[in-house]
This record gives sequence, structure tokens and C-alpha cells, in this order.
Amino acid sequence: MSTPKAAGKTRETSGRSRHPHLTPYSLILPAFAVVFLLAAYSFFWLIQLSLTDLTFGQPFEEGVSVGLENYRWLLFHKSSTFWSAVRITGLHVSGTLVPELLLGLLIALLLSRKMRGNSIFTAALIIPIVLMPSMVGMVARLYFSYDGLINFFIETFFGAKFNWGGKDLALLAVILVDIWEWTPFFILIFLAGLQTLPPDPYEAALVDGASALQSFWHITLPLMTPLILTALVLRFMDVLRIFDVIFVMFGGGPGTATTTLPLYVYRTTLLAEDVGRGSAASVMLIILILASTFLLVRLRQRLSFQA
Amino acid sequence: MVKDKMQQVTALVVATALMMITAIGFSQDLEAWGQQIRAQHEGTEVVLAVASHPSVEAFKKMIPDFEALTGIEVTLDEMEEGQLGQKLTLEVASNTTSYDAAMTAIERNPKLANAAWSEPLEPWIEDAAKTPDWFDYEDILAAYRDMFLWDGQHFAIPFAGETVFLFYRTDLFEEHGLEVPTTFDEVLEVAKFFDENVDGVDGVSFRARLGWEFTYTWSIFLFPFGGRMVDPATGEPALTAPGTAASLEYMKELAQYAPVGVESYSFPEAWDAFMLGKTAMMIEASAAAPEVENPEKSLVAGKVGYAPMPAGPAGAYSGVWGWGFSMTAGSQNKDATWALITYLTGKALQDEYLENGGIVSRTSALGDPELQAQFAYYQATLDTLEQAAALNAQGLSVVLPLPEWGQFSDILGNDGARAFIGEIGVDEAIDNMQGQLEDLLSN
Amino acid sequence: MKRVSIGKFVSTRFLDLLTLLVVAGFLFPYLFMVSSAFKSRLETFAYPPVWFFRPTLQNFTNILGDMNIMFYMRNSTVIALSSTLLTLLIAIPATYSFARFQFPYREGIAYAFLGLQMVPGISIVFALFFVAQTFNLYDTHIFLILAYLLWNIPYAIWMLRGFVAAIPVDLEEAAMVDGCTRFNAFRYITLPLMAGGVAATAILIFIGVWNEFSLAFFLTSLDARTMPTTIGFFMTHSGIKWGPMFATATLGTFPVVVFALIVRRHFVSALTFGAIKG
Repeated sequence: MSTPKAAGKTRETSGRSRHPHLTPYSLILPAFAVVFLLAAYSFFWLIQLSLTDLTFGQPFEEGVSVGLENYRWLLFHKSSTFWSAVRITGLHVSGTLVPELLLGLLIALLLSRKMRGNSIFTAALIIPIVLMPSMVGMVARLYFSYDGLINFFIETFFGAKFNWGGKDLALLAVILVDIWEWTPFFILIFLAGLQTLPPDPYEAALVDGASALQSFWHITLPLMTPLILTALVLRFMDVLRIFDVIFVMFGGGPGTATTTLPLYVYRTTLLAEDVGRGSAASVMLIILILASTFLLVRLRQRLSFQA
Repeated sequence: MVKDKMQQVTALVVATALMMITAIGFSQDLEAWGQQIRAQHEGTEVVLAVASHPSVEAFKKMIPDFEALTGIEVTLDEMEEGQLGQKLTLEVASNTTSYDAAMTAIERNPKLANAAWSEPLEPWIEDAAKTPDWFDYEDILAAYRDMFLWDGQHFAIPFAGETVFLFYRTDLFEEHGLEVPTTFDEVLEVAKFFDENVDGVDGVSFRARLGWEFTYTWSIFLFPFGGRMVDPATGEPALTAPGTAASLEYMKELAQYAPVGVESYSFPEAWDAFMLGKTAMMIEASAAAPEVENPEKSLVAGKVGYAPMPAGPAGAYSGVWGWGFSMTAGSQNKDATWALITYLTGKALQDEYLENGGIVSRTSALGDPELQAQFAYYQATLDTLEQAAALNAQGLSVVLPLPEWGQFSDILGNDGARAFIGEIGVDEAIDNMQGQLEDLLSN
Repeated sequence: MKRVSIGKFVSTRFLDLLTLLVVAGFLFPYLFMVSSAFKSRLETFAYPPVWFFRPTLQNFTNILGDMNIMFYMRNSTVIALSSTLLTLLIAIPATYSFARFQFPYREGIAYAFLGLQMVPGISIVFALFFVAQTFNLYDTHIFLILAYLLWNIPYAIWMLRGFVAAIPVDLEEAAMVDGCTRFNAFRYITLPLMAGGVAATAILIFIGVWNEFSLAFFLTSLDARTMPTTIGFFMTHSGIKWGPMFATATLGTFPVVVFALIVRRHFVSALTFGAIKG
């Protein structure tokens, strides 16, 4: 049955149980089967669809294979707004991550001071994260309307009202909602990190007469770097996927002002009814997410080692 | 004031009396019909996909009676209109259905009919055994009936036809001594006047959110300026007609006097702006009129006048849109479903339907002087439908009867909306759209 | 010296106040949302906003009666609960394997799981729709439950791996030396020790499924529709029904907020796939 060599190998690693080399795999098998079967089957469909000229509503059998034409059109055709979607995705990602990171760090520092009510504060910060995004989007649609809550505060304090539904500010409105929802994510993670920092370096710095700012810059920040990167990677993946809030608030508009890649996929597949191009855009979005996450994880490992 | 009230009361009394006379006749018929249906279909379940719509609210109030009368169980799957369109298209794609009937819009009819997802209704309409006299198909406005024409047959029974006209605030116009605009130039002037001179009141509201909603509004502005979607003679995309650009430019100009944020307005927001008294005019669907006149929701109820669409350089036109019930070809309960459709949309219970806020679609109601006195917008609806007929007479229409209309409309609604907000130039947008439409229709 | 301490006292008070304001700022939109659920239609639109008003329960009677919102709550509960339980059932053995065994391609497989977790729902929802149609599972609870596994299982594996790894392997080995099978050692020793982590993971998965929109939106219609997709009901031809919308949002977020507060100790590790202990 088995070759002598294989049999020998088995003997070498055999322990108490009869098939130890199979045990770890057999434990993973159900998870693997469910996840990968479903994923593989869906990806198979997706890639198939991306190579056809199928329109939404046509039975699948009627799709004609067009090779890579859909990809070519998205990337190079002058009427394609794919690159605009990439650009807006970039703005969306950087516009949310940078302020969230900075605010998160600041507020975490603020909260890490010993004061009464801290546990209540952290509990309160959980709430925005767990709210239903589709409902958050609806609520935000009203809050950001011209006679809405946001403009009320801006008018009270600064005497002006903004057109959040316009092409210049719509993306900012979406970003502000995200900042409200997800800055607490950074706060909570950084707070957890700050509380586990070793006290010794600070005591040494105090002896050396370092200012608070200096010890933050030279001690806290380097120690926190791995944590900051982890949080960034996780949020990065998440922001790239955001669909519901934007869908509900502006549907990608006005014009293409809030059409990020997930919205682009939706608009192409279901509104423009172009399943071929929509699927091709999906494939590219997935590749983009996987590739950039891979790079970020790599980068994080590098930087963590240096730190 | 008192006189008005008296008139209203008299009108109401007369209307009710008329209703009762016809109702007695119909109710005997209905009773007999109900028995007959019950004998065949008692216990059958009928599932309908519907959009959130005032007519559906009216149906919800009528359905319990239908269930009691016939023993048929009715289930409504209600969703937002865009969602409904996507659901139905998904069903077409997979060649299945979980519904017996669906509320379909004119925009989707060709696609559903072309894929044989919906059922041609002639065999039912023409079968006297299945369609009782009190249904009276011919009484539905011809313009609405023919919305659902595909390949020589009708694929839905319309119950909520709509057209677009001009809503204006009678009180504000009177206060400032303004005439109701009859041309688009005057609309612009009046809108500008309110925007600049009256605090807290903008000129005009309309829907302009990207996608089909932009297309909807644009198609109203397009033809009066001489614009074209396709050449009626050849069916080829013809956006390069000079009026097309002019209509977009006009919309951009008018938007200055619309509420801030109009570029993100869906129709509910456009309606709310007018209903909350924030605009002096509104160019919107006639379906908004019952809402505008509802004092529970609207601050301007009773202060609104309705006028046909103003004229542009190429004439005055409007369009026809609307909703009807399609039966699915895959339904296992077609007779029971048909019974429900005739009950809900028939002439017999029209008064109950209108009373509960349903959208009017029948000649008998729109032409009724009593009802016209009660509902100020009936006359405007009839006038505007003539404008729509004038457009159709030239071989043009605001919605093209194409299975590809969804894509067609999205192309217009995307690049059009981008030009509207100045993301790209009008000429570039038209160039883009023309190219994409040529690609679309050549396939 | 005294001046310094006064300065310090003032600055401490200032920072306390600032903290309070910041936290209140994060909480405010939520509280305003909840309060709006008790407003009448015109009050929700009012500019400037109405702060004091006669609360009405009309919005709640509307959604509980006319809209039958409990039906969607029940769907959400059934789907979220089943998917969570199924996830744990499948993910715990896998997690154990990743944490306790050395085997070829272990990290590769683990990262493959993580990679799948990152796929945006919207990008494969159309493909999933075809899958559902092929197996005649469109608009069924079971299909949504299964579809969510695609994201939940990898999440659970990464979350729980840290919890298992934190439990000393010696305990299990000692039990096995005493003649216990590996399964029993896991069941009676490791599992109870990681119960807290499992509970936190379960609640976080529950919340994720409860809130999920794009799959639920496109893969259900009548029978399996969940809470987040009910937003469609409020965008009607008779205007946006803000009051009922706020009421639904209040009702729909309530259980999740309560759950989240229960597991707040584990919340940070939950947010970071267990990479960071809270």
C-alpha cells in the first residue's frame, strides 16, 4: 500500500494516537471545507462572470465570453470612472485613518489618566462601534441634511451652514460618520496598550529630566508602534469594504463624489446592470484588498522587529 | 372660508350618494363573484411583491375584505422601490419566481415581459368568465394602459399612473403678485425671485440624485428644449441634438434657485422640501399631490396650485410613468392572483381605493366633476397627460420601451448627474453618454 | 511650590472636563437618535432641533403594528444565533489544531483563512446569489446562516487562537498522562478555561451578523429578511418615515448595545482578532 519510505516517516512521528499527522488536518477540515468550498464556488462564479458580457437580468447561459475585455474597458476606456473610484477610495481611506489614528491616540492618552468614571467612559465608547451601519447611515442622512443637526451646531458656533449633500463635502460627511463610529476603535485599543506599558523606562526618563512630550515621543510611541500598526491594518481592511453607510447616505453621489470601489461594484453590477464589468471590478477590488493587506502585514512585521 | 367648507361638504355628500348607488349595484355583483372565487380558490395563498407606495397603503386596507370575501390569503412583500426593481431583475436572471404577482414600473416592464417572466394579460382581460364587468379595463386611462404594452400585448394592469406637473404655492404667488409660469424662462425668473427676495423660501425643488432619479427629472426638461435620447426614426442614440445640452445647462441654472443639496435629493427629500414650505414651486410626480394635501404631513396643504408643465423653445411636454400589477408566468395560482388584481384595481372599489390614498388612474374618477372639485390636481393631471400625448405623437417618450432601459437610464443618470454638479463639462458628458449608448444598443 | 500644585489642579480639572466632553460627544448622536424615536414627524425635521417635546409612542406602535418589525427581529435573532453557534462548532476544533499542533503549511492555511475574511461582501454577493439559486436556497434562513460562515469562521479562528495559546499546554498533557484522551483533556480542561474568550467571540460574531447589510439585502426577500435591510421600508412614496426609522434603529441597536456592554472587557481583543489583549 504505502511505500516503505512513507511508512518509515510515519513511524518516526507517531505518538500516542494512531494517525497523529492527520489529527490537526482533520480538526481543520470542517472549517476548511465550509469556508473554502463556499469561497471557491463563489470565486469561480465571479471570475466566470467577469469574462462575459452578461447583463443583469439575462439568464446566465446567455452570457457571451469576451475574454479580458471588461478589465480592459474598466482600466483604459475614457468613459470608465473606475480610476475615479480608486482615487475616491484612496481619499476615503486616508481621510478616515489619519484623523482616527491621531484622535484615537490623543483621546486614549486623555483617558489613560487616572480619574473617576473611566470604566463608564470606555463603555460609552463601545456604542458607536456596534450600531447597525445601515441605520447609522439613515440617521446620518438626516443629521447631515441642510437643516440638520450638524449644520445646527456649525451655525451656532460659526454662523455658517454647509451643503453636506454637495460634491465638495459629501465625501467629508461620509468620513465624519466613520470618524464618529470608529475613532473609539483606536481609542480602546490604544488605551489597552497604554495600560500594559512597562513603568521602568518612564522612571528612568524622569530621572534624566525628560519632559512629558519627550517621554511620549521617545518611549511611548516606539513601544506603541506595533499596536498602532495592527490597528491600522485592521481598520484599513475594513474601510476598503465599507458599503452600507455610503449606500444609504448618498448612494455614491452626487456625481461620483462618494463612489468608492465597493459602491462602484454595486453601481456597475446592479444599477448599470453590467454584470461583466461589475464582476471584473469585484475581482480587482478583492485583489487590491488582498495585495495591500499582504504588504501592510509585511511592513508591520518589519517595523515591529525594528522597534 | 365658510362657503368653501359648505361647497366641500356638498361635494362630499353628492360623491358619497353617487358612490352608494353604484356601490349597491356592485356589492351584489361582488358578493356573487366572491362566492364563485371562494368555491374555486379558498385557502390559496397569493404572494405579491410591492413597493412602499401610497396605493399599496390603500391596498393594505382593502385586502382584509378581499380575504374575507374569497378565502384567498394575501401576503405582501413590501420593499423600497429600487430594491424591488433589483429583486425582480434577479428573479429574471435566475429564471425563477417566488411571487404570484409583482408591482412593476413602466421602466421594468419590457425587461420582464421580454424574458417571459411576466404573463401577457390579454387572455385574462378578454375572458369574461375571469374578468367581471365591474372591473372595467377600458376605464383605465389609455395612456396608462399602454405603458405596459410590449410586443402587442399588455403585461400589467396599471393602478398608479403618474405624470409630472408644476406644483406652486398659491399663497406665496398671491402675496408677491406673481403669475403662474407658463414657460421655462418664467420658471427661472420666479424661482430666482423667491430665492433672492423671500427669506427661508427657495425657488423650486425636484429630485436630482444620481442614477434613475436624475434621469427622471432630466427627461422632463429634455424634450421642451428640443433634446433627444434616440432618433425616433432610427432608434439610434441621438443625444448630440443641440437641445440636449441646452436642457442640461438649464437644469444647472435652475439648481441655483433650488434648495442647497438638491443634487443629493431623492424624491422623498424633494417632496419634504416643498411640504415643509421651503420652496415656492416643485416639479415632481403627480403622485406627490395627495401627500402635499395631507395636513398631517404637509405644512402647505390647501395652499397649493397645480399647473401643466411650462413650455420650452420646442414646446410643452410631460411624460407618463407609473405602476401596475404584473402576474408572473411562473405563478401556480394565476386565477386566484387575477381575482385579487381585478378586485384591487377594478372600478367597483375605486372609491374606497381613492379614499384610502390610492393614486388615481381611471377616467371615471379623473373626469368626475365632483372629484375634480375635491382634488385640485385632477385637472392638472388631465392637462399634463395631453402634454405627454403630444410627446408620444412625435414618436418620443420619457421612458423608452426597451429591455435595456435600466442600463440606458443609468448611463443618462450617471454622466448627466456628473455634468449637473459640474464634475465634468456638459459637452464631455454628452459625448460620454452618446458613446456608451451606442455601445449598449449595438449589442 | 503651591502655585505649581494649583496649576496642576486646574489643568487636571481641565483635562477631566475635556475627557467628559469628548466622551459625551461620541455618545450624543446616539442619544439624540434614541430621543428622536419619541418625536412626532414634524419635530424630527424641526430647525433648530427640538430639545424638549412631548414624547410619543406612536412611532413604536407604528413599527410594531403596521410594519410587524418583530418578524424581522426574529429573523435576525434566528440567523445571528444559528450562525454564531455553527461557527463556534466548526471553528473551535480548527482553532485548537492551529494553536496546539505543529504541521506543514500551518501558517499558510491560517493566513488563507484570514485572507478570505477580508473579501468584501458586496463583491461576491452576486456570485452568492447564483449559488443560492442553483441550490434553490434564495431567501432562506439557512443560506444566510451558511454564507455568514465564510466570514465568521476565519474571524473566530483568529480570535480564539490567542485564547487557546494562552492556556498552558502542560495542563492538558498532565491530564493525558493520567490516561485522559486528548478530546477529554480539551473538553474538561482547556474549554472551561477559554470559556470567557468563546463567549466574547460569540457575542462579537452575533453583533456582526446582526448588523450585516449587503448579503442580507440581496439574498433575502420575504421570509428571511433581517433588521438592517428594513431601512427600505422608510424610503417611501410618501416621504421618508423618519419617526418609525428612528424607532426601528433604537429597537434594532438596543440588544447589540447591551451585549457589547456585557463583554466590554473582551471587546478590545475581539476588535483585533485576538491580536491584542484588552
